[in-house]
Amino acid sequence: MPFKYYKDNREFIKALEKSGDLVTIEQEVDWDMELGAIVRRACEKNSPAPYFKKIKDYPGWEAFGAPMSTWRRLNIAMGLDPETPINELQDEYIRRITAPTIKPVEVSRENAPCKENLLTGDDVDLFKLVAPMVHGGDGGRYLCTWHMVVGASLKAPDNVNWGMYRQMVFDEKTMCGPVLPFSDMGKMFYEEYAPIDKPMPFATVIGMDPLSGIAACAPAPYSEAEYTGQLMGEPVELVKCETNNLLVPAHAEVIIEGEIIPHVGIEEAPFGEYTGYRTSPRAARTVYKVTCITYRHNPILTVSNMGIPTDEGQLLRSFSLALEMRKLLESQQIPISGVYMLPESTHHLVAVGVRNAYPGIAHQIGHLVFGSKLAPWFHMVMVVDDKTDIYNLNELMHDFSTKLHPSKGIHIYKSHVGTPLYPFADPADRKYGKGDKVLFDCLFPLDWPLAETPIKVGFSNPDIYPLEIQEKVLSSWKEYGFKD
Amino acid sequence: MRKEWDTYILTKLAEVEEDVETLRVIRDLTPGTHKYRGKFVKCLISRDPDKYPDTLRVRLGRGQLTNKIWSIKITAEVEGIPTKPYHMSGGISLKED
Repeated sequence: MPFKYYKDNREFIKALEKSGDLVTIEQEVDWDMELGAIVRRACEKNSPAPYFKKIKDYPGWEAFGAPMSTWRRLNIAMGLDPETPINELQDEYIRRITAPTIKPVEVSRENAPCKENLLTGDDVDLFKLVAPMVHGGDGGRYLCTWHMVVGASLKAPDNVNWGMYRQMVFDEKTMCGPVLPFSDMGKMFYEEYAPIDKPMPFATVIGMDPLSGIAACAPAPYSEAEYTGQLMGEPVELVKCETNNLLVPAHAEVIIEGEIIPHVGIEEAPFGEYTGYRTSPRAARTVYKVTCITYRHNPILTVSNMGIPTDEGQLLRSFSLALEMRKLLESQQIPISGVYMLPESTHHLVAVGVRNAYPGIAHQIGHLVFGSKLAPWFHMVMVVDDKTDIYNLNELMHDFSTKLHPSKGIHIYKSHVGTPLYPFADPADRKYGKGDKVLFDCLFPLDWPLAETPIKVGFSNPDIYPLEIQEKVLSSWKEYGFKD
Repeated sequence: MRKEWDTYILTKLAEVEEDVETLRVIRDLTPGTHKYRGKFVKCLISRDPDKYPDTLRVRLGRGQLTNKIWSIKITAEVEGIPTKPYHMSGGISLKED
């Protein structure tokens, strides 16, 4: 039984328009920074998603910015009420991805809108596509900011990965971008193809349906195509590429096919990154040679503008990382009440609510999540008790400021895996992707006598106000004259 | 007609060699659909904005645009991706070959 979902980006755009989560911009905008500046400001203000109908130099092309940078838009993509609370969205998501996986179906090219236009051979020219200069000072025009790169293992061709790896246009037939060695595609490329000097086929998918985008962003432990099927409740439709055997979402806007070339590098970056900084320097990065481009009529480029929060990279990555941690901790029977990674932290800080059942439980949580494959993407864990609303920033800040012992509650894990994108990392750590981790244990120690343990003073604490008083105040609230 | 290019320099600016043929990546700043196209070239560069036929703007490693205008002479365009690792922070000095 399929869930309510949008088969392509165009249906999603219509849904956002209907819910008031989209602004259609009819006046011409310049791809050279103006478009990016609009998307950036929209992210910083939590504004509706901008939909650009007319772009300088590129008649017939449109662009859709910040497709999923708010919880409302993520709810809509999932087919839920836009105001669904985060914990309910998490529950629904977990419910779907713990159901049996659903294999994709292959459709014919006649049934694949992404095949409506075809560029091969000498006609391949990336400058025919509206690649924006997203931020001033970027190392080039980033065609691929909200997209996915499809790649397959050489040794096990059924092992197909969808992932978001940014791509910058270098020349008509060349793109470049970072592929970190611990990423899924990095493992395939550096461990299987590069050692035998074999180019790795790839397909970049721009403007895929929103659930495929969510799957590509998620640290899925199996095929993202099957993961997408779980989110949809039915198979995602894929179509075979023109120049290789990879399968791509049939209803996407643009497909770029080609090969990743071993043992060469082209200068890429700087780029405004998800941390809210331009951190990684210009450096020689992975090279993609393009052999073929297919696209829909009047294609719509999707544009994410990463910077200070909140953009969809921060939001979705926080969401999916937290869910994977929740699954991990629940699999170990840790009595957690929830896991929430704060998008405002650029997915560096995760809050875990837990029943303070035994001494050392915060350390156990720290070791488990820092020891997981998710670890490179965050470095701070904050453990609070299960009475704290982990989705409420005010409550987290209160716990952090009052329950965290400044020496006994802070635990450092040295020489861990990090990323070169940490803005705080020193140049050597950044170069080698190293990073320390920190655990903030905001639980009161269990060996404190009950009589000496502070009691949180809040309206909803029955130790402070008995339930009958709470109920009386709540039912009379408006009568007292309050309007909220 | 003077063309305008830019390049990224990661070393200290004072260490950049002038008037020595180097291999580097430059970007075309001509307005239009191909603006920011990258190119491998052999070139001579100078802090003197009038010494060579084209204008060169210089950016640092995190994209900071320096305020002085340089000049550049392209001596050869390099097809493909050079197999020899080139030194991105200031270009390869070709006199070492």
